[in-house]
Order: sequence, then C-alpha cells, then structure tokens
Amino acid sequence: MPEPTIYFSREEFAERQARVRAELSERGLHGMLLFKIEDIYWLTGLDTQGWKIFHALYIGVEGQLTHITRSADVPSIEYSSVCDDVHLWIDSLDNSPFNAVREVLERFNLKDKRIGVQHDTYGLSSRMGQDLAAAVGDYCELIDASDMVRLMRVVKSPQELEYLRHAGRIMDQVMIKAIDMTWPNAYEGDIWAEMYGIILRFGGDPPAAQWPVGSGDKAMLVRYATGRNMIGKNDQVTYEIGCGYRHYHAANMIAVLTGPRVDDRHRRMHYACLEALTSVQDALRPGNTIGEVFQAHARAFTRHGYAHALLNACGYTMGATWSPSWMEQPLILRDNPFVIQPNMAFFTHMILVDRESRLTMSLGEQVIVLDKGNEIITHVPHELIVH
Amino acid sequence: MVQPNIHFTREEFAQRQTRVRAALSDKGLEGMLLFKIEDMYWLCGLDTQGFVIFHAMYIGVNGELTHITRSADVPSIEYSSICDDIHLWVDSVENSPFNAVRETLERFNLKGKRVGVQHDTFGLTSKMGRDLSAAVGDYCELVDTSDLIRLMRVVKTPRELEYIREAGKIIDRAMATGIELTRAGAYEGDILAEMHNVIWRAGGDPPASHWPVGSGNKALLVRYATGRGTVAENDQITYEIACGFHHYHAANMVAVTTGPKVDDRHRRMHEACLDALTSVQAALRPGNTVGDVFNAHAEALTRHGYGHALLKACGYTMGATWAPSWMEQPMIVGDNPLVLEPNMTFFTHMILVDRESGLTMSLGEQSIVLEDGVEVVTHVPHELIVN
Repeated sequence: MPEPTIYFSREEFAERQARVRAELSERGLHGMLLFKIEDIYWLTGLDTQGWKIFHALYIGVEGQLTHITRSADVPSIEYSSVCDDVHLWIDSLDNSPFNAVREVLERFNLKDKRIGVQHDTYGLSSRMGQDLAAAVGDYCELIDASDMVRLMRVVKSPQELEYLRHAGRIMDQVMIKAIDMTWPNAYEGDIWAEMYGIILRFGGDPPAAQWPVGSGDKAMLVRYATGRNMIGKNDQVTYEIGCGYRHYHAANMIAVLTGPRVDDRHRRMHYACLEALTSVQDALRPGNTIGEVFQAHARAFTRHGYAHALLNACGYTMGATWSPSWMEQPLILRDNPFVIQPNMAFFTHMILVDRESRLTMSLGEQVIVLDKGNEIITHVPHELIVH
Repeated sequence: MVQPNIHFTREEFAQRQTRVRAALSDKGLEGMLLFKIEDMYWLCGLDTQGFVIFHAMYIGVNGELTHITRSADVPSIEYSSICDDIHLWVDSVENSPFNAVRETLERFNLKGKRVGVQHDTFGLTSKMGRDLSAAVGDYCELVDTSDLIRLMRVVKTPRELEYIREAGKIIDRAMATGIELTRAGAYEGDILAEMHNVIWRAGGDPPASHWPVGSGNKALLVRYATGRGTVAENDQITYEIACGFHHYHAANMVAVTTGPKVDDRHRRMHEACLDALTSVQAALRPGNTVGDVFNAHAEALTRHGYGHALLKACGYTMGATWAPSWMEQPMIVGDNPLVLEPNMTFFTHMILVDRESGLTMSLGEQSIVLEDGVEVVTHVPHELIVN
C-alpha cells in the first residue's frame, strides 16, 4: 500500500489518539463515534470533501480505530489517512449508513457499553441523529461527547502553528492586493479574482466560508451575498477574508473607504475599532478568560460611545476547518469562562454597524497566544484607508 | 425601508408562498418551520452566509411569514428578503435560538396544532434537533416535512433556468481555461487561479463546495484534498467543477490526459464514458424515472465491460445551493422512482476509477429537461483530450 499523503508525523497522530483514548477512559467511555471531519482529520489525516460525504470514525480505548465509509471513498482514505482499517457501508436507498455504524459497534462487542457520540456537528443532521438512535437502539449507551476532541484541538502543536502562520502570510498578501485595488469604479469581481488568485497560486485552500465582502449597503451585512457591484465614490467596502493552508485557516478584516469626502463618523468609528483591537490583543494572554477578552473590546467601544452598538461576539478560535464555516468554538463572548492557554489562536474582529447612518467600520487580525503576550499572524493597516 | 435586492419578481415569490401554503393545508398542517437556507432563499429571497449563521422561518397557512434571527442579521434580511416580519432571538450563552422559535409558535397560537419541521438539513444538526424538541415540548406536534419545498424546487421557473444557463456559460469558459492550461510542468495552483478568475470576473458565486480536482493518484479521489501538485507527463487530471450565478449552480467534468504516451485503457474508458453520457442524456426526458436514467448509464458502461466499476450514482439535480454542497436530491441512483418533468435540471457524471491500474476517466455535463429531449447547458469536449 502506498504511504498516505500526511501533513503531520505518524508520531503526532499517535500522540493525539493516545490522548483521546486516555480522556475516554477518564470519562468511563469504551470508545467514541466521530462524525466531525475536523476531528477525523486531526486524529487520522483523513482529507476529503467534508460534510456532504458521509464519513464516520470509531476510536476505542483498546486501540480500535476504524473508518466507516462507502467504497467510493476508500481512495480518499488510502490517499490521506494513517488508519487503514475500513468498515464498508454499502449505500443504497434502503441501507442507511447507521446500519454500518451498528455493525462496527457489534464487531467490537460494545453491547451495553458507554460510547461517546457527536451531536453538535454538521456531520450529524437532526435526521441522521434520529437514524443513529434507531439503528443503535438499546445495544449500547450513547453519551454526547461532541466537544471532547475539539477542546484538545484548541491548543495547537508547533506544526499546526506553522500552517496557521503560512495561511496568515497568504492572507496578508491577499489583503494588500484588495486594498490596493479598491478605488471608485473598480468592479468587485475583478478584485475578488486577484485575491483568489493569490491564495491558489500559493497553494492555499479556498476559504471554508464565502467571504463577507461588499460595498455600499452591502458593506453593513458582514455576510456573503450574491452579486458583484462597482465601487462608488465616498464608498465603504468591508473585507472579512480568510483562507486555509492544509485546511488551517487564517483571517483578517478591514473596511476601506473611497473619497474624496470622508465622513467624520467613519473616522470616529475607526479610532474606536483600533483601540478595541489593541485592547483585545493585549488581553489575549495566558490566564485571562475569553470573557475578559470580550470585556476589553466592550470597554474600548464604550469609552468611544458605541456601547449601544456592541455585537455579542468579537472573535473566535481558528484551526483546520471545512465548509460551511471557518469559525470554531469558543466564540469570544461576554462571560465565557474558558481560560486562555499558550498556543491557542484567535481571530478577533472589531465591527461597528450603524443601520441609521448606514455606515460601518471594522478591523480584524489573528493572533497566536504565547507564554507571554502573543504573536500577530495576520495584519491590516492601522490607519484609516481612504482611496 | 429600502427595497430589497431580489433576483425574482415579488409575484414569483408570492406564487411560491401560495403553493407552499396549499401543500401544508393538504397535509393538515397549520404551518411549517424552515431551517434550510435553500428553501428560505426560494420563498423570500433571503441571501446570507448559509448554515454557519442561524436563520429560521415560519410560514403559516393563514398568511403568516416571519424570520427568526439575531439582530446582527437584520441587515441581511433588509438587504435581500421580501419578508419584513422579524422575530428577534437575543443570542447569549444561555438563550438558545429555539426559545425564539417557541415564542413564534406561541405568537401564532399554535398550541395543539400540527406544524411541519425540517430535520434533513445542515441547518438543523442533531444537537439543534434535540434543543428544538426540548423547547417545543408538547406545545404543538412537529411533523417532519424536510422535503416539501425541495420537491417543488426541483421543477425550475423560466427565471431560475436563465440563472442556470448563465452559470453554465461561465463554467464552460472556466473549463476551457482549465483544459488549455493543463500541460506537463504546469502547477495546479496556477491553473485553479485562472479558472476561478473566469468565475469572479463574470460575476459568478464561488462554488458551494471545493472542487474535486487533482492529478496523478489524486485524480482517483474525485474529492477535494489540500495541496497542489505539478502536472506530469503521461498524467491524468480530474476536473469536476462548478460555480453559482445568483446561487444557481452549473457543473461539468472531464479528465484530461497529458502525453506523450496514452494508455490504451484510458482510451477505452473514455469511449465508455462518452457512450454512457450520450445514453444518459437521451434518457433524460419527461415520463422516464430517475432510475431509468441510472440504468441507461449502467447499461452503457456494462456494454463496454465496466459492469464491475459502476458507482452508485451518476448525477443529481441542481439548483440554488449553499456550502457545503451543490448536490441536491434526487440523486440519480438505481430504482429511484421520481418521474422526470420538463424544466428539471440534472448534472450527470460518468466516472470510472480503477484502483488496480491507478487510472481514471470521467465526463460530465448538465442538462435541462425539455418537453421532448434535453438542452445541454454545460459542455466538455467529447474527444479524449491529450495535452
């Protein structure tokens, strides 16, 4: 069998699997069913299309590790996974994949055992969750362990951090290109083409989510919407952009203005965003909670008179993600008690949207938390940009 | 209020809503909760990021239509939706969106009523499904109607067909560029950059899923995987590509070989794929079932000696889709009894993967079903390409 194409050493995969098995034992679980591609990639290297293709993985405390998949997906496993044990699901209209899941549980004699399962993932829709429950019945006890692997993944290994930094370098170049091309009468489609070109030429992965980018009223959405427009005079253009490298995502964010006139309210919003970003980056250090990071952002906006405009989150952690989202929990929310540790990575976005005046401003960068302080791995200009 | 940016007339949206209300009445339902962005876009125009952002809708038989969303997403609704009734979910760590769903049910006095719900969507994970059940309790009876709107959407309107044709024109040009650049020594990242360039400059949407593209043994995956290679001599490169236009997707597919040597088995596989594609396009006519179409593909590949290599599906319907998938049900699988009607559209892919020899070949085009015969809306060369 040819060696799989893997982006981490076999030792690193083995360590991760050992940690998961230890944690399962700790929780009194015999094993765990995974439906989350991010977790399966982290444990085995499996690299594939993502949620639209059924993949499950069973990991047991006694060394078991098995993919559950269709024959059409065996090439993906051979190409990318360190796990070569495959239990086939013969897919047809009347044979659900959860029959194959049940077979795996029986193969490992898990009758009446406690088994972890992931309900909080796009990989298990509500319908699939019902089918899983029906197929397993009372054969064994399924316990929700959606977050177990995710919580381990929040702290990154040196190799993972290298991939994040690489994605960050690509995104910085993409952002420079975008800013450079944002002028009155430029067509958004031409700008996107140049931005995507950089990502693909540098070997990056297309972003796991479509970019929230737009001018005029669309700048306020901070969401993707179809249709490309021409940039106007006295316009505002929101760029919230990201890409992957080995699926590890980096993001950055800015709102670019076109002149000749600049609204004073835009200037004031920019000052507030800059102070909030600086405060948040200062708060992103080991020992602080996520809630304290949110508070740093809230206090800065409040000092500048934008307390009424606070969003409920000002960022989230980043790692290897698949569409439809590059966001991962924990979100940076008020009162989130999660304690920050070295080698976590967070994208933090300072966003002001004023629906009354139809003005918006934003700044966002990504950082890696170090033993002391942090390393900023995506960058945007800190002065207001007027083109 | 500003007029929303809609890509269909208000009359067309009104007709769709009327049809849904009539179908709900037929099923003895008072209304329906939607969690599927495709269905919300079709009913009211809502255009946003997709499944990463919570959106729900309620449509009732007595004229009710309301969005359930966070305040941060009100700009998206104002920008794109003809429905201006919004029930706000105040998001926090302890307030689930399903409390807001329950409030909406109470607002419309649905106690003891039968209400439809969508379990079969990325918009309702297994965890969300459980939270929904917990929040609704026995207040009303939730009945699974995942497919009610999808089945209406399978038959396209003239305007929808125009968007699919437009996407088809763009993706044909992207494919022509891809084929032209596929030469020994070319870097895949450069080729992908030029192909995406075509989509962006033409105002298309990025594809709802990452393209299954790759050379060498990666060509066999027919799945996306990270890492770009360099095209070699005597290589094979699989392109399965698509883009959206106002989210309506068109796709095409081909395997390009590079010389100077051409394996005779590649030639035979190509002849089989071409025969299968032609047979399938002939079978795509009103009155036939989707199963008949699958059989046309199976018979052709079997005639050429590839009966052992049949995949379980040879295509699927296409429409307006969001990440992570541009595929929609019905899949073209054996025994599928769905009867074809005019103005349906199908992408059909003929794929041969021989894991023994490490060779693959494929051909795929998209068709609109007409009163008699089909209109092919994406095109690939029908001769074997040796670059």
